[in-house]
Amino acid sequence: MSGMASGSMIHMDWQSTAEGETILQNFYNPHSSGRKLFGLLEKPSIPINIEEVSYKLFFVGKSGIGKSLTIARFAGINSPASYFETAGIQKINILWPVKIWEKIILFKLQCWDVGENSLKKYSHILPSCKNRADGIVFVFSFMDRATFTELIPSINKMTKDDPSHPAVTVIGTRYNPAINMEVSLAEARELELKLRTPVLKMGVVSPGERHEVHKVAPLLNIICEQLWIRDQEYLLKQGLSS
Amino acid sequence: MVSVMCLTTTGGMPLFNRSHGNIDTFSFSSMASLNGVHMYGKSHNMLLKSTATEDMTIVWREFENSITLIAAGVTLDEQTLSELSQAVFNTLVMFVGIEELRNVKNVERLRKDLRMSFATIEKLLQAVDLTDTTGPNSSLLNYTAVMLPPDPELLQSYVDSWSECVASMFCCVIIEGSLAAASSGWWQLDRVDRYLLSLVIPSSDASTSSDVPVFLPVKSPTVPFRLVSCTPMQGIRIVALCGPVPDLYQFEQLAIQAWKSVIDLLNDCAALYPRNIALSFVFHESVLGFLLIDDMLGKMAISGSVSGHRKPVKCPSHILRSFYYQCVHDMVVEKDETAKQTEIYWCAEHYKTFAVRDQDTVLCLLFSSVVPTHAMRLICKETLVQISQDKSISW
Ligand SMILES: Nc1nc2c(ncn2[C@@H]2O[C@H](COP(=O)(O)OP(=O)(O)OP(=O)(O)O)[C@@H](O)[C@H]2O)c(=O)[nH]1
Ligand SMILES: [Mg+2]
Repeated sequence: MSGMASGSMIHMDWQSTAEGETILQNFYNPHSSGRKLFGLLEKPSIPINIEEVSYKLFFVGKSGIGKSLTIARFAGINSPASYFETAGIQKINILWPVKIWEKIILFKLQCWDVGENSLKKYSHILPSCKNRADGIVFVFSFMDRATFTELIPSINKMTKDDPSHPAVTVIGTRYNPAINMEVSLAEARELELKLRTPVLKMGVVSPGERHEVHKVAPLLNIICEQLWIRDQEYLLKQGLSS
Repeated sequence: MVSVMCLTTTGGMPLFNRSHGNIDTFSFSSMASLNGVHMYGKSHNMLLKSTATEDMTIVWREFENSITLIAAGVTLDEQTLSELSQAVFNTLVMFVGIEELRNVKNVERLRKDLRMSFATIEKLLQAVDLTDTTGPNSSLLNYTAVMLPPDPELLQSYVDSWSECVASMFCCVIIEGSLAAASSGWWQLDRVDRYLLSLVIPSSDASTSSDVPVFLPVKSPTVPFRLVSCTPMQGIRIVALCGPVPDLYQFEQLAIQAWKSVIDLLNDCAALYPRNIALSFVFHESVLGFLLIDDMLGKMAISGSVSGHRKPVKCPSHILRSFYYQCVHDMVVEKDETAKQTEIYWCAEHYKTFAVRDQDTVLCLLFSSVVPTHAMRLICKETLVQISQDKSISW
């Protein structure tokens, strides 16, 4: 990421405005407190002139680090009470409306979640997940130092030789500044400068929390903006070379 | 309340311990002693199969001379716990393959790999746990849940063309958790494989699509397939068992192409839930719910809401499940044809149940308590005939 500064295009708190809340009304699940998961042929009932853009995101990180939980929170679906390791690839499409400059755009974030042990055991899974990925989301835990140290090697391994130059996102789970975390904020900041990308922080979960959507909105907005910027830069380059 | 522990047979190394309901998971030391008694018996040429305390039954099973499972449950008999152990072992095969279980080289590695099976094992435990009356639990161990949609031939023809389009003989459509139609290949799979596959398919509100490597415990225990599925609309899951192609992305594209013009039909089927049988099929007015079992194909359909009006009993499908496990199960598993019962009933304060068996098919009906006991037999028998003859549904 270079050139354009983050937070300058997307209205970071648009989802809390009257306009944003009105649009988001159509994303909730009438049978639960959470949001709805839309099938491949489904769409929320929003004005048809709202443009849709689709991206593929691949989530990477150690087993039990919080990939599935993070995606479930992003999707606004009630995550199961007990933890089960993910078997194979589970893909969740998250529909998320954002306001970029004066325009509302519907982002379809196709989140590819893989159980780390499936990934190791079956060799066909990695290519399927990496193929044409627009972004790779690296997940570590603020409470597990080793997962933080492994980030840079893992990012290098995943993105080198990848002609599609996927956007790199870093998410730290179990973030709790009130306690002494294994990974300090200063270290996270250092990594942000090095990678020139923000380290997103997932706090401790309190089940059944209201306003969950407003908790995850800033993180989703940052991810959407990264993907948007990547597209703009790509278009610019195309324009220059043609 | 039910619990299953898994250990290596030779070393007695614990591999995992899963339980469901209000049961204390066994401590490491009680696991060790339970395994110890079993080993002690073996060293004296005795096979310890089961034991029972006042409220709990414990069953030991060994598989491939390599894996020991110990199952413990409240209100469950030896037969059911033994079937549960077998199903749990098959699930392990489904996720890691038989080789890794037959000769355990690296216990630590196996322990990690087995964790992939936990979500499915949880469903097996849930299927036998009768003390869990909270959720909309209507599953029976070893039976694929199906629904009886209207116009089954039309739906079947779409599944057949889907099967061609995705180049897989093994395809099905799951609607609100029940199988609505399947390719003939799907029905030719062994019932054990078919049942476990149905448990591994995620529900439509858990993910948009999925691609899960699975071994088939009977048909293919050493070479994995891919169980691929996606949700075109909430409540509906399109499934195929695939080889290396198509990948998940292509699969989604194919599914959209094949099913986008059929969405209305699928939605009509979804609207049947939780009745689970076409509206054109009318039950006698005293019938509140039904449980229909085909023991040869290993399928069952259940509904606690067929009448649409008044609900005199609280948890109809829970009553049907209890009736099944406490009475009907014995009737089904009895091997000796001449000893096999063909009818059985229960009378309780607020309801009555009656089951009839015709070869491999068993129909259990739940009645309100006002129905005369002698009338139940006739209604039940007639309903079974009606189900097998009605051309607008297919059983
Ligand atoms: N307190 C807290 N717990 C978390 C957090 N993230 C994850 N967990 C817990 O960690 C466990 C594992 O999380 P998952 O999201 O299922 O792990 P995963 O990365 O998907 O793991 P695999 O599927 O095995 O690769 C769950 O029990 C979560 O509740 C967090 O930010 N805070
Ligand atoms: Mg996971």
